[in-house]
Amino acid sequence: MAKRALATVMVALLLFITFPWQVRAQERATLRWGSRGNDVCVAQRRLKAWGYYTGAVDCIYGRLTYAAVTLFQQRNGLTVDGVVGPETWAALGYWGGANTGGAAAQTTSDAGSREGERDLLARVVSAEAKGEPYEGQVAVAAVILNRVRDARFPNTLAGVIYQTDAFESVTNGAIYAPATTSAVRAAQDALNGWDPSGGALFFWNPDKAVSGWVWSRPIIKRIGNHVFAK
Amino acid sequence: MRRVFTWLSVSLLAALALTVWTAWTFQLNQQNQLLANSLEAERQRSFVDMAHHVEQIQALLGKGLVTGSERQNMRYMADVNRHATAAVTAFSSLPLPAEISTTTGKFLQQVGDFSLSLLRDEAAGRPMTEAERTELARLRQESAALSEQLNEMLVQYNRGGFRWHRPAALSLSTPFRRVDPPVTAASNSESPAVAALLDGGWAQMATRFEQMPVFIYDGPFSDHVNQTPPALSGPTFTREEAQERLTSLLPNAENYRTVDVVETGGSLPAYSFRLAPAGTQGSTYTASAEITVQGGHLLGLLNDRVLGNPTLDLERARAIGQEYLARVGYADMVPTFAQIQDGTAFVAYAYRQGEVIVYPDQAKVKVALDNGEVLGLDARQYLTHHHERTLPTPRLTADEARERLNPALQVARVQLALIPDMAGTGERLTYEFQGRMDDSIYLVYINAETGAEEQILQLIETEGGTFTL
Repeated sequence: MAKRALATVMVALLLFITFPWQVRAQERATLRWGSRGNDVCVAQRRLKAWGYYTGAVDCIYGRLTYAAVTLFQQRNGLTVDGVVGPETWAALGYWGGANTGGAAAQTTSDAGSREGERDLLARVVSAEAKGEPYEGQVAVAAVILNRVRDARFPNTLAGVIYQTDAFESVTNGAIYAPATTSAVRAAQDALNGWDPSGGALFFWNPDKAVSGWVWSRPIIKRIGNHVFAK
Repeated sequence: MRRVFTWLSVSLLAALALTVWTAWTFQLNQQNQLLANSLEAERQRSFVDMAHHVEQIQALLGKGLVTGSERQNMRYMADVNRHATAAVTAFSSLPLPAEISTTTGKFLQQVGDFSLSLLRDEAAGRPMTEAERTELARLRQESAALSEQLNEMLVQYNRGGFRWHRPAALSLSTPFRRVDPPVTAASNSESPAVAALLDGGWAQMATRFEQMPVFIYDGPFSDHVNQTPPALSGPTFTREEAQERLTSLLPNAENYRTVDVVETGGSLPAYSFRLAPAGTQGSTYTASAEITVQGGHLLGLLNDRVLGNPTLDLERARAIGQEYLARVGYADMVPTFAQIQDGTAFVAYAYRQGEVIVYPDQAKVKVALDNGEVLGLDARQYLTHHHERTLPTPRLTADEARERLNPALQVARVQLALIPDMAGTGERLTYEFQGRMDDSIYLVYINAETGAEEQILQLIETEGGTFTL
């Protein structure tokens, strides 16, 4: 009997050990008031990490979760309905809901290379500055464009963005998710010349561990969770 | 009997699971190895490329110093520029810590930029000056040192001293090991690649690059381009005065409340006001406005809101923007280009002094097309460049300048314009010709004093308006 239990445990263990190698994008359920389950926890954890949710992570979609979701939707230019559907999941950084493809809004007004540049820029902004105030999103886009013009960095947009280890979202693949609508607007404003960062070339989140070297750069300003520096 | 069966089935099941798991893991590991190898190959190719280009650069700079022929020197400088561009491209794909990559990148870009500026001078018939020759010699010395360093690293690499990318080796501890993002791995001195770099002295070299004296020449990456702080008129504002000033400058101040004020550094120190719609609660803000500490000028305004259906056209938006600019203290601005973007109009304005359009003094306005509200303003360029200028009188007439154009260009419009020069360090008075050739519209700028062709821009017409390239 003991042996059998051991065997079962071993099989379970073996299967468990293999799993971490293949992290797959999971389909997330659509959540609304009263929803329960693991997906609610996932959303709560993310909303809590970004400062929208103040309650306990209890996997139950209640009043506080509703407040957090609507606030998040409002700040990110989503339809404010309290329902975590594909668009909101995408904005939260997860693939979800029934139709996974093309979840977040992508405007297709005028074609051309400029459109492609804006989209690339918007994706980085979306991934790097999600949950940040609009000013902070424009500032992140502006930092990227400032780098294009600076001698210390490659002088094309793609060169700057795909520079090895320059942006975490490129390293972890988050930039391949569709951009949020507010990120698209922010990218456009930055391309038009707005620069709330005041000419910054670096930005980082001071609450996360970053290399000591960036702290030697002269800081210009703090917006939301990011510090901007020359 | 039943017991034996149970044992048998359990062992069989376990054996099966073990086989499947082993096969799966083996395959994953192999795939991992393949990916790691191709990534390593990509990185190393970039590195070898970079080493090659830097070697060429130092050789060509040396030849440029030795040669007595200007024509020959032009050839060398063109090659230096080509190799520098290629070196920067190759270099930017290497996983290096920021302190090394930014300084080395800047060095390479300036070498390319400097050679281009020499090339332009020589094409215009200006021989190399003594100062430029000294600069060239210094750059050659530095690139020779960099080249030597890179070659040393190549030798180390070939001996197996370090690898750019370390594939995750499969072991019992694998599942429990934290996956380091390469960003920290690269700034972590324990990583083998970085250790080799630091040991090899690249870090010291990077520090030296950073401490190089300010490098002045006529190119866009020259150190002095962005170094002149703008001189703003007016008294120094306190935070309270700025707040008061803001109230009179906002398009509709009664609709907003100030959530937070921060001071911004950089080339134009300012108070940055964070604004939320009146009647809301909390610290969430959707708009921001900046007032310069010196003079209390409106530096920027940015408001993000959901837009309704457009009811205004571009013409109306242009007028609204112009009125607003005049109201906040930027008079005599004329619209130079406009575009409709997702329910807003984006209009760029330039200052007009007499008959001359002064392009460096530029301001931009964003107008909501649903109700005509001004959603954005950017006066950074205007505030950086605007000052009272005594404009030179053109030595050429418009007709004389027109003779310098390609005869195939069908000119539709001509006006005087002050434009920044190629390097962005000076200003030139020009005639701006707008004309059509082969289905494309171009703006050609002819220097009003020398008749030299300064700049050509292509106008791209899109559904939303025109923009220049």
